[in-house]
Amino acid sequence: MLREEVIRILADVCRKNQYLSVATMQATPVWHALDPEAPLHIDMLGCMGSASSLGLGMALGAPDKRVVTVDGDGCVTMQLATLVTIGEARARNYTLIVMNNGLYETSGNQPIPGAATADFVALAQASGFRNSTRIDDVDDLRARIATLIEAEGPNFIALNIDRASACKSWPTLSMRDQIQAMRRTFGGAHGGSEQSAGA
Amino acid sequence: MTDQHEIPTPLSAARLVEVLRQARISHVVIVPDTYQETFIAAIEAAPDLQTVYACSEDEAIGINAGLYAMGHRPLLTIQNNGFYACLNTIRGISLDAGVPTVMLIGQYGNKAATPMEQHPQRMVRLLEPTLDMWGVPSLRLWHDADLGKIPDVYEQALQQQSPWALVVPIPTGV
Repeated sequence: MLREEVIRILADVCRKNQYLSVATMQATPVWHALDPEAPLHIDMLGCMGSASSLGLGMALGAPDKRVVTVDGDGCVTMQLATLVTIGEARARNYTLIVMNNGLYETSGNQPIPGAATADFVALAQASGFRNSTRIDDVDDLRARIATLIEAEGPNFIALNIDRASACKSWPTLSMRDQIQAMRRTFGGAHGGSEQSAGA
Repeated sequence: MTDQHEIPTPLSAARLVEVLRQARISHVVIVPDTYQETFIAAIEAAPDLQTVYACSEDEAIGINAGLYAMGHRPLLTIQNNGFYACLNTIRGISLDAGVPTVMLIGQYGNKAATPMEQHPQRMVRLLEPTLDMWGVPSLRLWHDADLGKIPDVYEQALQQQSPWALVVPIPTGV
């Protein structure tokens, strides 16, 4: 599968279903080309490995919303224990999607450790994810993605994608602005929350 | 800051929990710290404060950011060693992205009678200089009387959209 076509499907299903989403690294330029404003979306840039934890916090904080994080396999290996944290938290509304090609695309397509040996689907399953699956066909992805995200989570989906060149332009929206916009939208909507003057 | 030669006394875990209620903290994100053992036990016994355990401080800061984005008022409990481990995440999320990140940091290894600035162990001695260098404001929780400052610190973190460190110098009491 090509990265662009996969992101197109994921961004589309998130937008149509009003899922909250987090994307990181090479997923972000395509995502914003399709949805420039993306009001229910946060980009995790400059902090590799943290997207899945940000998404977990959102899922725990908004149990009435579906939250989807689109991560990279290099990012997951950088903070691999996050699979265990997510599995233990048992957020029913959370789906972690990993773009899997065994490469650090952004830095020039170097191989990630474990590219040929690590099995992310098995790791997620062993860490406590309720569902863990792999997809390597774009039609299969299109047909199943909404059902997989709507399943009782935490859900893990590995998408086998092809090697691709790195995008060199990044979204211009700042993470700070995206987080503040999200807090303005959801502050007060959940138990124990509030909107303070500075938030 | 308090006089460097002042000897701290164990913080009351029960009083600390009460102050977190006053600060309207919604979640405590925990990477366990030996010096906050009694505090963590007290939090676990408080049904109105939700706890989230993370494997690492990097994750705890990400979870804190997600909870904050959803309108909550989370707080972190970590150890000095963990603070050093997650500096890049503090840089990326707490400082660059301006996510209020209020951290109770246990000074593991510290002894009450030794000024932290002169402590033989770097993990103790370097905490406050590192916080200062990174522009992370900090407050020493030397005595129970200092706990009352926490609600104001939390509001400052929200207003400034910045991290704040609350330094726990010796093991908490009951």
